[in-house]
Amino acid sequence: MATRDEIKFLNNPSLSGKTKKYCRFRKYGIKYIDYKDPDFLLRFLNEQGKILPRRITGNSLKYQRKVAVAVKRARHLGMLPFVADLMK
Amino acid sequence: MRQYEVTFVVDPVLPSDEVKSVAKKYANFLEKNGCTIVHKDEIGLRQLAYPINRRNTGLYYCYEYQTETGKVVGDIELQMRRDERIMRFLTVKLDKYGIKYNEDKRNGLIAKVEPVVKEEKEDSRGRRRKFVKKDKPAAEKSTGKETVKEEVVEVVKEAPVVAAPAPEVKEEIAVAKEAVEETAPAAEEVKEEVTAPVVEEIVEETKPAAEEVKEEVSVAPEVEEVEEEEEEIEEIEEIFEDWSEEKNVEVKPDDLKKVEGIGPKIAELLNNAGITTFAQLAKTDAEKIKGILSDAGSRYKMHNPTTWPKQAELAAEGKWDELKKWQDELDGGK
Repeated sequence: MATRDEIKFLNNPSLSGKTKKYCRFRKYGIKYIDYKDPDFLLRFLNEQGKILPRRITGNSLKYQRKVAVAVKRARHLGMLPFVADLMK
Repeated sequence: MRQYEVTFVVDPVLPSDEVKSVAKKYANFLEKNGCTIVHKDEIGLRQLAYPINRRNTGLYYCYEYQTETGKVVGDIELQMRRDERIMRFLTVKLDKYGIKYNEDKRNGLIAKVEPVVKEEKEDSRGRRRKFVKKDKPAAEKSTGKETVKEEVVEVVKEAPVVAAPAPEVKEEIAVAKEAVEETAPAAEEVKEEVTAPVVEEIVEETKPAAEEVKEEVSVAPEVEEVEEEEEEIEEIEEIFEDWSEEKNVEVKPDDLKKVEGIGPKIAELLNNAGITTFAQLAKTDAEKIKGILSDAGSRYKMHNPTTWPKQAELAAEGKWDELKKWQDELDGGK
């Protein structure tokens, strides 16, 4: 069996054991994001109530925008706060 | 026919008859203006996320209605704006997905999301629990892992019967165990090597599979005792637990594009013809590959695959250095 030095890869193996991030809406075929459901939308906010960036949540652009719209509607209706502290 | 949804929040300090009259007033207004009300949802008292008009709670109502034009929307909003009993309102036009979602919700097809507790949940990936229907993918995934593990265990048990791959496997496991303790890159590489042969066994499960295992590992066979088999199997299971999570369970074919002359389209062709690994490609004659190419169409006929099997052989054996040197000379798969 070849030793570690002899083996060379054309593409280097990834050092980080990262799991592939995916858009959960794309994957499970969810087409509509309800603004009246604050419990679900909380996943996309941080402890201060801010909307999390797409690179953290893994959403595709289309659905990130829909999430943002839904969160803003919920905020208008008083279901989600604009500014918060230790929300989660 | 346009479908709209209006959600409004009524002042909670009002007496209940007045609240009811407010709700009725707008329902009547909609009907009078020629809308068909699809659904009236009285969500009830809710805590507000921030105080509105110095009130901390509100009574939520949601009406879904259909109209021909959108004219009534302006009128109803004007009325709500003038009404002092309504704290907030929002009108949304529903697209086909929204309509479908509301229907499903009324039919109970959408599960309620439990409020997120601060403690860490086992499902670290944060799989969506919302849609009852869509829970299947998550469930299927977990069963998929288990079935593959079982298959692997079975195959490993069969292995000693065929030729003598058991000793090789044991050596691999020993190396793999060391690798796990060592740095990540080494571990990854060993994993790749070990998964490749065993994965192929799953795919083919014939004698040639055992030969391929030998080829890729090329260890001098030693005679081992049967008692040690069980240890191996346990160790393999341990290792595969980690791997299956990473590799996402599916059998991974080799990347045939690494051969000079094979691009994504031709790789697909070969995969469809049943050639998914380097070892398989190494075994097929150039003639046969030519046949596959010409079957696919005149566009592919011009490629000359004479060197591909030899390249694949080098790749299968892991001689990447030699392969690279040769490919630099080849230049275009000739």
